[in-house]
Amino acid sequence: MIGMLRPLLRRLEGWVVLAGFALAIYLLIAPRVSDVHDEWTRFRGAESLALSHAEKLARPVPPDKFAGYRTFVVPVGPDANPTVLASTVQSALIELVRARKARLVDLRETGAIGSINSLSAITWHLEIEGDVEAALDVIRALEDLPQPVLIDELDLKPAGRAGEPDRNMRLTMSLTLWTGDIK
Amino acid sequence: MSVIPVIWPDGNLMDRIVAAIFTRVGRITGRSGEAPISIAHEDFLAADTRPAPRVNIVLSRRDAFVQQFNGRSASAGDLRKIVANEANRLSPVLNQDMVLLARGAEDAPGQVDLVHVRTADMEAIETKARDLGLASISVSPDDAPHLVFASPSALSQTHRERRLWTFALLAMVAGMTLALAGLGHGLSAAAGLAEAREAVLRADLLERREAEREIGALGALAALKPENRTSAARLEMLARLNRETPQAAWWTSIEISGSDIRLTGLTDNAASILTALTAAFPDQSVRFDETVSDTPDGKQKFVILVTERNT
Repeated sequence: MIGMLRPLLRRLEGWVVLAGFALAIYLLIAPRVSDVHDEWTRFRGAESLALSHAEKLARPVPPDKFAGYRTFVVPVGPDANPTVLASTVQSALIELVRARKARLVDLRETGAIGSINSLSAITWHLEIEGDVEAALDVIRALEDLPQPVLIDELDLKPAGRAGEPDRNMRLTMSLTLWTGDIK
Repeated sequence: MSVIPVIWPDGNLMDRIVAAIFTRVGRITGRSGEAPISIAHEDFLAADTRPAPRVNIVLSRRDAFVQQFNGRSASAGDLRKIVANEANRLSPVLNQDMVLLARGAEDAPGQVDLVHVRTADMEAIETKARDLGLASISVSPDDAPHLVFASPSALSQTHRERRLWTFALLAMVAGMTLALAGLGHGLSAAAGLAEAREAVLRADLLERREAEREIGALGALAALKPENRTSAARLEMLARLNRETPQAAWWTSIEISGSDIRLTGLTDNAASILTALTAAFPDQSVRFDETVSDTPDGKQKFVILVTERNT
């Protein structure tokens, strides 16, 4: 049997050697060529990204001329829950009105403004009744809140119906609190 | 069987190198198929120049003796066995003086051709071949010229070339493997460094973008003038309006929306109110927002709008 195979092997010897070399190239060199290609691609990608970043960083830094406006923004993280802050401020507003000689007519959270760039606004509609001093006291007391609540709209007019003016005044305000992920 | 050492042909080395290069190029390009020229033994030994790139030495019946065997195959192992058996069959004296060359018959599978040549004659032929710069020669008996036997040195050279080619290819594969592995390793290290540098720059860039985003957001907020919307600023504005309004007038309502102020009230002379407020707020636009109307009790109802002046 082996003797019958020998002529065949003798004739195929060269092809076997060539096939061996092809197999060696496939098993040894091809993976390394692929590895070199992958590493080169990785290197080129990282280099081009680094170059792009460096070009962008080479641009001049814009001046931070609005730094003072950070005091009007409550810094909150991107994953913070704004309802907690809104509830806190709303509770403080109720306490604030109760502490003055004013009657709370309406207080509700509205979504009137929304957001500017990455800043979000929480807005409230506050309506109270009382004498002028009490109304001005409420306005003044807003400054004592720990959060920088702004008065977007203010409407001060006599209470009661038209033709039957009341001695009391009705103060209607639209309040806004700006929040954002700033440092 | 004597061993004939294969040495590099002496003589003009450059000629031989060039001839060898052309021979190998001819093999690669398929031009090596030229049939060798046949030349008589005596004429070859007397030649001063190389007759042709490939030469077949024709041996006379006196110099060569041909035998034919039927073997199982014509493999290299069988050829070696047949040659060894035939050599052992000869007397030891003759065995030392004879070279036996074997080959498988091309037209008859399993048939083996064997030729006996004197060792001295074979050595003389191969020495002459080296002197003439022939790397490969063959011999054939004149009574059977179709039986061509490669000389021992040619066979040895052929085997050596095969081994050299094999080793060269193995070395190439190993070298390429090592080189590629080294290159891959170096590139991996370089890519690691580049990625680390890119990560640092990316962090810087993200920080820069974060700062720019903040500046943009604060700029948009600044456009709303929040400093004018604090409770202190609103109270200050109310106090200022109160201060600048003439004593003869009183407000019935005031509406502030952003930077716009809408003042409603009663007075004896609405025009004096407008004049006073215009003088007090020179940077803003002050105007009647509605028609001034007289009331039954002799007063004038006014609605004045104070707005930012459009620049």
